[in-house]
Amino acid sequence: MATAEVRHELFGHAEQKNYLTHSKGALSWLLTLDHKRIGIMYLIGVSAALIVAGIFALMLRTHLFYGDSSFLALKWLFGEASQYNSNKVYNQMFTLHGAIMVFSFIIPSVPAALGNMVLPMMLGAKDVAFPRMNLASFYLWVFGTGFLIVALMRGGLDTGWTFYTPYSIETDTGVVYATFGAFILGFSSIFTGINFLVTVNTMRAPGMGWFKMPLFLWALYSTAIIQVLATPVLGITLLLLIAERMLGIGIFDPRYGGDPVLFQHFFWFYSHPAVYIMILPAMGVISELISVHAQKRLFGYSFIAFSSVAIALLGFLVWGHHMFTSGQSVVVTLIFSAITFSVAIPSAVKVFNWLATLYKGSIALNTPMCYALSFIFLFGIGGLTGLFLATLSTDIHLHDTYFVVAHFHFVMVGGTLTAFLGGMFHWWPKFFGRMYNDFLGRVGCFLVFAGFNLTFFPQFVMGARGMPRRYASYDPEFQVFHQWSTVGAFVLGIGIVLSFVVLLHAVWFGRKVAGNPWGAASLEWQSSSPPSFHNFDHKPILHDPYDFDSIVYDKGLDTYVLREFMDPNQVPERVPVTH
Amino acid sequence: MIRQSFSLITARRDLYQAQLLFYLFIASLTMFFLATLATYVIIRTQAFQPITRDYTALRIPASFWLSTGLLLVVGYLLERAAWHVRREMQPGFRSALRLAFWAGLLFTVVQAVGLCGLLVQHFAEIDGSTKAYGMSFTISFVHALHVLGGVVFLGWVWYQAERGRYDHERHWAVNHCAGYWHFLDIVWVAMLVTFLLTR
Amino acid sequence: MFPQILNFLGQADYVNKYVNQFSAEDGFRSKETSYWFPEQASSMAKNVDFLYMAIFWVSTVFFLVIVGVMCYFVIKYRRRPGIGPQPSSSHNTTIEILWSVLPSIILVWFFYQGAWDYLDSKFAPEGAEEIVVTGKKWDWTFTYPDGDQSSELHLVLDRPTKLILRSEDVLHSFFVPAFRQKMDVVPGRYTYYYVKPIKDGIFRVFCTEYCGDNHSGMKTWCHVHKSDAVRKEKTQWIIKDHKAWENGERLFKLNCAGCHNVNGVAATGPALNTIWGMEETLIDGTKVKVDENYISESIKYPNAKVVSGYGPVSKMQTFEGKLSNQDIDFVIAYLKHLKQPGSGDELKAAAPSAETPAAPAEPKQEPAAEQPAPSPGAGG
Ligand code: HEA
Ligand code: HEA
Ligand code: HEC
Ligand code: CUA
Ligand SMILES: [Cu+2]
Repeated sequence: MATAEVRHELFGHAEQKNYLTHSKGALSWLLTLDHKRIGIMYLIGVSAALIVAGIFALMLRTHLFYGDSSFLALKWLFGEASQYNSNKVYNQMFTLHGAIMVFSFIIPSVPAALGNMVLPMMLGAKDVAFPRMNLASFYLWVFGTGFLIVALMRGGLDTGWTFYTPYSIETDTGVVYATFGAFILGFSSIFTGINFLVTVNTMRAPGMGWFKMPLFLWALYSTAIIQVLATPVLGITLLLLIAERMLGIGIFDPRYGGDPVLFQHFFWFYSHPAVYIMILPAMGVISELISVHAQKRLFGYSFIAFSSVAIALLGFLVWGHHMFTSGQSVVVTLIFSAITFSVAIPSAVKVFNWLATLYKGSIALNTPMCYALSFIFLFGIGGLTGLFLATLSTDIHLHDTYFVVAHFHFVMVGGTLTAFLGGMFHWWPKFFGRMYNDFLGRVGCFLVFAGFNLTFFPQFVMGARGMPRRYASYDPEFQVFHQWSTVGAFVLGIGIVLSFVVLLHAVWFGRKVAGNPWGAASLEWQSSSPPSFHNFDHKPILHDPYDFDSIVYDKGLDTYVLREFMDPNQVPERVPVTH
Repeated sequence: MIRQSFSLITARRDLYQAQLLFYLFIASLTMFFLATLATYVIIRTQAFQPITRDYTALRIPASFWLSTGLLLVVGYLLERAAWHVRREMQPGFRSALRLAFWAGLLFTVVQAVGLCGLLVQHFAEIDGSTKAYGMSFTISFVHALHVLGGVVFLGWVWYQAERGRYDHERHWAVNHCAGYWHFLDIVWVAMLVTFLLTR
Repeated sequence: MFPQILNFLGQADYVNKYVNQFSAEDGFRSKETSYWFPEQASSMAKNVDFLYMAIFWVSTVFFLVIVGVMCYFVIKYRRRPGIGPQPSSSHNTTIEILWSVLPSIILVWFFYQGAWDYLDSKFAPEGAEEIVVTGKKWDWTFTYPDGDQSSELHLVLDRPTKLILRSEDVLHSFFVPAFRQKMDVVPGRYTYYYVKPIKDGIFRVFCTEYCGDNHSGMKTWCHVHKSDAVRKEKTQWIIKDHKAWENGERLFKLNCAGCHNVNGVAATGPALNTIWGMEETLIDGTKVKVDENYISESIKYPNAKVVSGYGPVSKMQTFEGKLSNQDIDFVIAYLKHLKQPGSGDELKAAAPSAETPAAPAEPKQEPAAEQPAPSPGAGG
């Protein structure tokens, strides 16, 4: 059908004519309306946030190596003067670690960074519906994160990422800056959400029905619903907190007739759905990785798709499970516990369907697949330990102990961060046209996996034994666990750094690859690598995103192309080569 | 090369996108104001509070009645504007927009007076242990900020109208502007009713 | 295994010292802990542990099956040259429903059992003893039905007890791991839980709701005594039977220990074990000698002289009206005793009002009327 040259132009490695080389200069990036460039700027931003907050994590873990603050491991930082000072620094460490990780890193990580790069291309579209709004969303992220950093410099922040009142009203640290920062980050998140909803609704390639969308899009769509409907509630909560601090209006401050528990209700009304903002896109990524790298149509497509929506909607009804011990009424507590369990079912459905997808596949154990398998393992543990917390009597014991800390790191780091890294390794060849060193990629993945387990598994044990969270010093019986955990954190850190190094190295020195190195069938792979400024140089040919039979290997290009575009002189080869 | 096939981006889809954007925006704001009202109702009725407190009664500033009237007038005028533009009656359309803009601006002034009143009352009762004015000030203030956004939007639509950018076919910005002001009307009336009911 | 590791890390000494400190006290520290849990000291603990282990095993089975199947597939179907994916069906509604419904049934049981055990701690039986637990930054005060107070919780074995929790400042949470119970302490309202201790000994108490700088220091002990008599002896407030410094120590633990250590490590406030007789530097650079007047003034008017490094405004609030002049005398005796053991003994039950049991955190007028309080600036 097409000549070799045309084929190369459409699906080859685009050295000259791509979105990266389209225009030059800092301004061409900073003012770009191209979703791919915005995605990359987001990627840089959230990775920086991850590293900053990760360094805070390493510092707090180092501090916890010894149980008594008088054995200060970081004397230069935590100060020798008194235990009091070192407590203060510690409290700021975990607060900023939590706040930056949640608001600046994990919520925008998969949707705003990876989603921005991939979503329009998956739809076969040129860009998102509102490119200007997209750029605005990025700058709001910058401002919001900036405010968090300002808070760090203006007396720090020591409320915990949850900003619970009345402590957050009393403390003399930079609560107003930080909450305002989180408020702006909320706007950023809403903008992305609205943009994605409109884009998916109106810009699907002609003929692409809802059930012909890749599952990553279903996940992003469900996420966007939560972003649009839940984030405004956080917005007003934070505004009221600021008003309470500045004016003393008597809503959250018991001294003036306010109610601290009310704050918790409103905070979790957002922040529980927010944990599904974190995990749903990650699950979408995993759906893609598993099917592509096992070359198998996803098992139970519609169940996975609807489970995303179900999780998004049910997620709105369970916020009270963070407040089982808060003094909310007993009846309410029972109801929240019951509904919480219902969220576990759609999650279980996803896990089982991923497994079934592997059945009879052709599983390549390359870096993205390693991350996907690691995700199933770690998210499995994280999700299952959620059941201990959803159960009332056990949560009463486990609440606010390290068990909870371990639970949410298993889902957020073992789940989302793992999927985020896996997604980067999956789409990297597409967006940079270069292949990374797969061996080192897998070593990085293994270090992350091993270091992660070493860091957070001991925390389950010490949590069940009663070690409370947010403790700068602790009883000696917990020390062993803390020490393992600290060692693990460093291994994990090395793994993450290695992964980043592998990816960055590939951008400049990696082997050049053509349009579709994995043999994937969704639309974003029907373009050159890196894609051209307009995403596609030919109108993408619509077919099922998991129809791997429509993809054949092209020896001339050393990549996979659509059957229609295959070199007619070659025998169609369905069998993928091993990597 | 085959780039032409992307000309699918039609005016029709633009319109649909703008509409969707508008509805999602309103949906988001609805959650925002529902939450705002909910906090107010809960705290005023002590729904979650086992310990009963006597709240001082809330006296609604007189200027709020005037501002309510103004707000409703803006909603009505924008409806008129949309009606006129649909029939391509440009002069009536523009004068309705002009009036609406000034009424909206006047609203913000009148509302500011009322808000100052509430704030003064709030500081007057600061040493009492229960609060009535701070909360109502805050939520009216949050609404007023949105009105301010509405005034800017309205001013922009008016400006575009004077430049002749709208006709009986293309005037979705006018509809959305009217829609947004109706939304502000509803929110404000809901707030006022809540103030009255939980006084 | 653990002691070896600790030794290796050079921490064993520290741990031994720490643990011995408590075995020396009246009770004993039970070592009957399982792998996952501290000892079971309340009537609910068994149920909680049982349910935890049930969830644990169900989860483990699910997890092992999932990971097992995953590994099996990965090995069996790994990519090999020349072999592509084999055709297989891509949906099966029966199996989808099966693997949604089966776990649901188990989940319903988790919910039911968890709710049932939870309700146990919510409804106290008629006639349960009521103990008021007051949390404040950063220590606990326990008030017993007969008005006694203590800074460590003393319970009686097998006696149904309702703990009524209240906060003086921010949120705290009262957590006794051995009881498997916790509840937030919320300013502006009372919360409570019911507990029945079934084992005597000493158990850890933690604050588990973040409450500011010294959150991790807000811990104490819960003693469970075999009989009411022992409990009474431990909590009773009989001034004349005790040495002045002992009374002072008790007052100190109740009121001051949240901010002041007596082990030389500064906390929110300076450590107070060695200050007696010392020269103290204030924020304006002047020096004062620590004597009775200075301490008394520090307690009543903390802001009159702020120690350098803690300014500009003292975090200490006044105890004027909370501690009587006699109480202050006792505290002074205690601080003296800390510096020179033996020095606080002679003051035994000196004051005239010795007969009246004092409730330390409550304002008392009578003794205060006898001595005119030094005005700020007059002392030191
Ligand atoms: C990515 C984020 C994320 C995700 C996905 C989840 C998922 C879940 N979480 Fe988690 N959670 C957090 C982030 C997250 N959580 C955070 C940040 C906190 C603490 C915040 C703070 O206090 O600072 C928290 C705290 C938290 C609490 C409060 C604990 C406390 O403070 O006392 C509870 C209680 O119910 C809970 C429950 C659950 C449940 C039931 C799920 C479920 O969705 C899990 C469902 C998944 C599975 C069940 C596993 C997959 C299925 C199988 C392996 C098949 C077998 C399945 C069955 C047998 C059912 N979580
Ligand atoms: C996305 C969310 C996220 C992520 C990814 C992480 C990642 C990590 N977290 Fe975090 N954590 C939270 C969210 C997250 N956390 C939240 C919400 C809380 C609760 C806060 C609160 O209580 O308010 C919390 C609390 C929390 C605690 C409990 C503190 C306490 O309660 O006292 C601990 C303790 O171990 C911890 C550890 C870690 C570690 C070791 C990592 C590791 O995974 C980090 C790995 C990353 C790195 C190590 C960075 C790699 C980069 C480098 C090493 C750079 C080197 C380069 C140069 C110097 C140029 N976290
Ligand atoms: C809320 C915390 C807090 C509590 C409770 C508290 N203090 Fe203090 N205290 C401080 C701080 C902070 C300082 C240092 C600033 C100053 O000098 O006022 C201090 C200073 C002092 C000093 C002067 C110390 C010196 O080195 O010269 C004395 C004496 C003292 N406190 C005694 C007490 C006694 C006795 C009690 C209990 C009845 C008590 N404090 C309760 C916080 C507290
Ligand atoms: Cu009190 Cu934490
Ligand atoms: Cu939750």
